[in-house]
Amino acid sequence: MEPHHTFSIVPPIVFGLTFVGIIFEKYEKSLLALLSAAVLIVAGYVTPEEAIEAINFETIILLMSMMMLVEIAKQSGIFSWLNVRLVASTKGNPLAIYLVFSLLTAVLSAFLDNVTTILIVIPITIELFRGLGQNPKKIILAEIFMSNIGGTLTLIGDPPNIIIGGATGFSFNAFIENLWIPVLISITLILSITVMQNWKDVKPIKHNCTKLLLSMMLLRRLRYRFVRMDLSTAFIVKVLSIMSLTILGFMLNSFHHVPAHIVALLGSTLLALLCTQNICIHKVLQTVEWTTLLFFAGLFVLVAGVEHTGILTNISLFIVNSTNNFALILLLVLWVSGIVSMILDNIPFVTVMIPVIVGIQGNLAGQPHLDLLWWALALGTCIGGNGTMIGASANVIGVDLANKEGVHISFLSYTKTALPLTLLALSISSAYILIRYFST
Amino acid sequence: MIDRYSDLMRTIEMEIGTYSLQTFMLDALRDTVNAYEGNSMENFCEQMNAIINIVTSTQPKFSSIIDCYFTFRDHALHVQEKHPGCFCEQKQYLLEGLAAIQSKSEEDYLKLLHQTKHLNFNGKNILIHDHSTSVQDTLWTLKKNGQHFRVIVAEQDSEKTLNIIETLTRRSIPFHTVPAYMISNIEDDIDVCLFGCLTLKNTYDFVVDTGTTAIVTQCHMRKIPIYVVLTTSKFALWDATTKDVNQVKHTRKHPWKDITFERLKFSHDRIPLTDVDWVLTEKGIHSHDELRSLYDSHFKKRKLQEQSMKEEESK
Repeated sequence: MEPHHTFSIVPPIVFGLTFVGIIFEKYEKSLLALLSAAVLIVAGYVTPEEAIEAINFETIILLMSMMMLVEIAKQSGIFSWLNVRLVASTKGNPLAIYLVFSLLTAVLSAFLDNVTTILIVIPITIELFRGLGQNPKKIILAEIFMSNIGGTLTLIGDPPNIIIGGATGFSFNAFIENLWIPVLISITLILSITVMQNWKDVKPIKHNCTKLLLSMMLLRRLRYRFVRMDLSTAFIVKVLSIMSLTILGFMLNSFHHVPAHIVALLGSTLLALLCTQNICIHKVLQTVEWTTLLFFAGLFVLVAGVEHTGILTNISLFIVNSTNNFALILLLVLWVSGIVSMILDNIPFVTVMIPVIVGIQGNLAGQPHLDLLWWALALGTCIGGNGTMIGASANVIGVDLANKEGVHISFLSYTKTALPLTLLALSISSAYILIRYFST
Repeated sequence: MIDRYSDLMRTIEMEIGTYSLQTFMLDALRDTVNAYEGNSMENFCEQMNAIINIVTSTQPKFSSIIDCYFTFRDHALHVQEKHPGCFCEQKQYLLEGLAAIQSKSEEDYLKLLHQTKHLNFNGKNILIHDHSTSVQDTLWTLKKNGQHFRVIVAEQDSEKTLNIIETLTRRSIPFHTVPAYMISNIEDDIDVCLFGCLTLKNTYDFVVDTGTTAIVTQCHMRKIPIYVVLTTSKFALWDATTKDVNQVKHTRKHPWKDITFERLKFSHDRIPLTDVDWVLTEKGIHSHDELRSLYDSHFKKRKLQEQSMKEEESK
């Protein structure tokens, strides 16, 4: 079958229908993406060879390896240990609990997947805050924001970054070097604002014995439950060592030139082998989100089909021709990504945007700040996800967890709190991108 | 606040048992004293009164905790009177007092376990049901004293049963389990029943784990000897006005049919003292009549204490 490499409206229509299907969540999104990819192959818009070539295996291997690594780490009990240690360090002070757990979420999200981080952190904070008689809604929201913003910091922090990293070859350190300033400022400002907004709930209780006693009871209960867990020091040491080595491997990429996905694969398989006695590898593999990985694979083929029609090149040309002001293009990329990510799944959006950005770069060759386009895309998609309840998987999971625990967070109440803070973080990112553009 | 305390204490009691809850609450109080940054002992005593008001109003009330907290409040008043000075220095005396209360409670508990020397359970099958530290430690002491017996665990909430299984396995005590509602099939194999309890009320009812009443009634009818283990600090020294049983109503859905129904759950059961044959306390092994007298003497003593407190307050 000869591929149709001329302009056709079929691939964009298939892509559009898939997107609508994803939005309505009626069917499993991985099935929709795979089916659409298969339709494009059968219809001859992409050859089977092109389809295989279109799949970014670096991204898929990196995601799979990190999922394995995190699952083994979870089974070692290290996250429970960390939670208990941190809770003890707060001495029952609600403000300290608020800050420590929000920052923990941000830090963990930079290195683990956001949903895992939310699953680790939210249950314990709900228990602590509710136990203290406070409504845990505010801290849940703060943790969701921190998870999305923290995830923006690194190559492995959020799927859009993994996709951008896979497409551009940017190193682990490049992400941190280019994104730490807006991430840090956003975290500091959002935490300060939310603390001020919730001062009544988080103010120190060191002068109130009844609240203090309740808090101490909660802390002791957590410690008791932790002591009852059958933890193996050897297992934890193995996990800590391999995880540290893997992160070090990401950071030292400029010396050893081993790609990030291979570093992650090495780390996860080595850890699985070393911990054979502590884990059941089949169970670990079962926890890898294969549906997500298949979704990625289908999406890559789908976008390749759309790309072959030339529509994405036309979009790039349209953006470049609509203005000769590069700063405006940067802001356009950041804000469009941000706003779209508030409403739609940012993974297909980023996948589509990759060829668009590559096209813009091609059309503006010689412009000294082309890399800023990628950072604008990363900041827009990751931070924009905070805007609404459906903007990112972490939001959906966090709100679901809260609902299960009887803390109702409605779409409107989420948006009311999240939207202004997201706009603030996007403004900070815009200012950062513009300063980078004008200062060098 | 009372509801929050009630919920938390009830949950912890279900997880670790009443005796451990007492230790737990004393540890939490020590943490509180350490973290408290008040400026005067007078302030602290006021706050301690607020705490006592809460722990004496929880549902259910935990008598051993009330007992310890009352003692600590008295100690705080004593420190205020005898050791004037800055609160940071007085804190040390408070912590010493807490340590003494903890030691006294441990001492009573050891005395209670010491009473097992009067029991002969050699070669017997002992039925247990609740997740009670006192029962587990009684069995452990009997084993250490060289008695050989087998434990039959009547299954209840899976988490509690698993806890019991973990402890028995760790202590190499032979056991097997049986669902609590199937006990009637092995009645002939049971030689003795051993239970712990949350408290003994002034109605002479023990407050026990849910499901225990059915088993005790069954064993009582079959004339199987029933033992209850508790320290006298678990005596509820107040007039019982409520059932001390918390009821929770859940709305459940049938897993595959469109049926919704209400499901009631209760926190505790009650068993009359007269259904029990023997009661082990730190003071000895008592028949129910002897225990009634012991309870009454404690009750009278507390009434006198309360009366004198009221008189002091009115002065």
